[in-house]
Amino acid sequence: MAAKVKEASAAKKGNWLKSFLKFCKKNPAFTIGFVIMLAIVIIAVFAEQIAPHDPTLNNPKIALMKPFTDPEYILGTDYIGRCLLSRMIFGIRTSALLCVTAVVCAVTLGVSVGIISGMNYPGKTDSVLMRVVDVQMGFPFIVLVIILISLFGTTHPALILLLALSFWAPYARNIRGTVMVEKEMDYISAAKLMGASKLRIATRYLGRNVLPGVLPVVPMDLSAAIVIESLLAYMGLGVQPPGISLGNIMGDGKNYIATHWWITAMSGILIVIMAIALTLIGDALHKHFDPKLKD
Amino acid sequence: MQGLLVVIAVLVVTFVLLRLIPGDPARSVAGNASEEVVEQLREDMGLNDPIYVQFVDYIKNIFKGDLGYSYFCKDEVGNVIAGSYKATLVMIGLALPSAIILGLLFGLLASIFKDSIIDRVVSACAVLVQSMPNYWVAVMLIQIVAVKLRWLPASGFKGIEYAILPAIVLGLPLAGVFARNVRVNMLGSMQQNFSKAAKARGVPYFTTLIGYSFRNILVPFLTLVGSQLGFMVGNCLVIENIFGYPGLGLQILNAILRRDYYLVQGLVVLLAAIFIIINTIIDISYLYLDPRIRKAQGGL
Repeated sequence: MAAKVKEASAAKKGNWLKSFLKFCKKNPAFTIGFVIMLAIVIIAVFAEQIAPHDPTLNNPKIALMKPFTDPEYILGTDYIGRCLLSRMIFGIRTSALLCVTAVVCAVTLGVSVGIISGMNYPGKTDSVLMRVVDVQMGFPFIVLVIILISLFGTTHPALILLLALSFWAPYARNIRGTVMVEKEMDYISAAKLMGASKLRIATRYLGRNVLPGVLPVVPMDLSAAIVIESLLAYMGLGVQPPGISLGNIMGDGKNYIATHWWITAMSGILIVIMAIALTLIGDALHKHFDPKLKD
Repeated sequence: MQGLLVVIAVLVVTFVLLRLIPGDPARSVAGNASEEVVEQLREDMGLNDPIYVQFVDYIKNIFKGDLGYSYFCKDEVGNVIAGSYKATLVMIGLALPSAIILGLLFGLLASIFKDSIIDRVVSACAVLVQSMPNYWVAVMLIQIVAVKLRWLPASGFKGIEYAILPAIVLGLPLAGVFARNVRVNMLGSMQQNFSKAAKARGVPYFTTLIGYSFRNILVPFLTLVGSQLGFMVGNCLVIENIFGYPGLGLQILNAILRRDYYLVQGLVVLLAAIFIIINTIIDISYLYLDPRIRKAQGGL
């Protein structure tokens, strides 16, 4: 019996992988984006093993070395002789850690609020929650960021909190709209008749049906989060040294940009690559989940 | 009405958050002055009153048209804003219309010549300009165009040529967003029955395209423009900071960092109000653009 169940789940897994590969084959743009992001994740996880040098080890003798001149330091060194390649690899780790956590928090919060709000429509809970969403969306975002940073400092939890705060509201509004339509459907009434609890309806029935609608937005927000995180670090409002962020590397390079422009240029190009990869993934998902866009 | 409530809520949040930031604004104005001077200043600034008294006073003064006094700029907040809004307005005035024109033009081209080389190039460029971090583009443009080539000034604001580089940085990603949106919506709109029906009736191709398909994407396009305004405010702040461009964004950043309460509040209220007014105007313009909405609302 147990073996049979195992077999069935393995078959299911195989199916899942098969359909994923089929999806990749149909969407070359998605595949490119996915492969790039996979590489980024691997780099982030195995930063210690991949980086050729200690990213904080300085050696002023070889400061500001040009890229591609020394095989030991392929991408050159910064103003106190730290290996730029190693720094960028650890920068990816910081960005990935902060931004993924933040977007996961934002989606969780936004989807929960959206489902609660939609299930209670029309009602007081719904009105209150939607006004909160209105305020959050009407608030000049960057002002909020600067105020929160002055309040909580630039610790990792604070940065995650403010990134999450800047992305949750549109999810809530979007999900609420879908739930309002979805909860009038027959399968929800059927579930209610069968005595499903509110929580069960919210998670098992509504949750499953509304989630695909916001899935394509997640990669887009992830790319926006990476840009904002690096921007804050660049302006000295984000990850602080000795922490390493792609923004920090650019910020360090800023003072030497007239003579050593590549320090700033390379980290920026890395962010552009990540952002493009995420946009490609988001576009493919969007096309996949929005039947109107199918040809 | 609802808009007004949101402005007030935004103001309350700003008001409370600002006062939670550690540090004494009176002390930071006075510098190394003696304790009596600082105490006097605190009294003048109203910092000794309980927070709700400060808030009520502030609201009362707003309705009198008085946004308070900035102790750092040594001027009324209204005057400070009046002195810096022009630079931002010139920048947005260059960036937004150019982005809309470019977005519409290239979006239309890409959708008309779907899957051709034009479509591919436009789509790729749109993704590219959208993916570049704006501060990085700003730094690179300053380095290349202003420092190396010396075509345009790198910072400050003494004439319209100073606004060109900031406007490019602000407008490029917007043009990308707009072009992608126009393309997708046009492709959807051209598939719809009204476009097919027009074609079947023998309406000329160009008329079908502009009068039927294009006309139907104007409402979602306008919604998009409205929703991008919030992002533009944030981008202005960043771009002005990097270019040292003396507009509202630079004022906000400095004001928050200096804990210049009244200036921050004044600017936040102003921005939230502009945001809501523009979105209301957009809501109203739907009535002009789409007869179906006009009918649903009971006529114009």
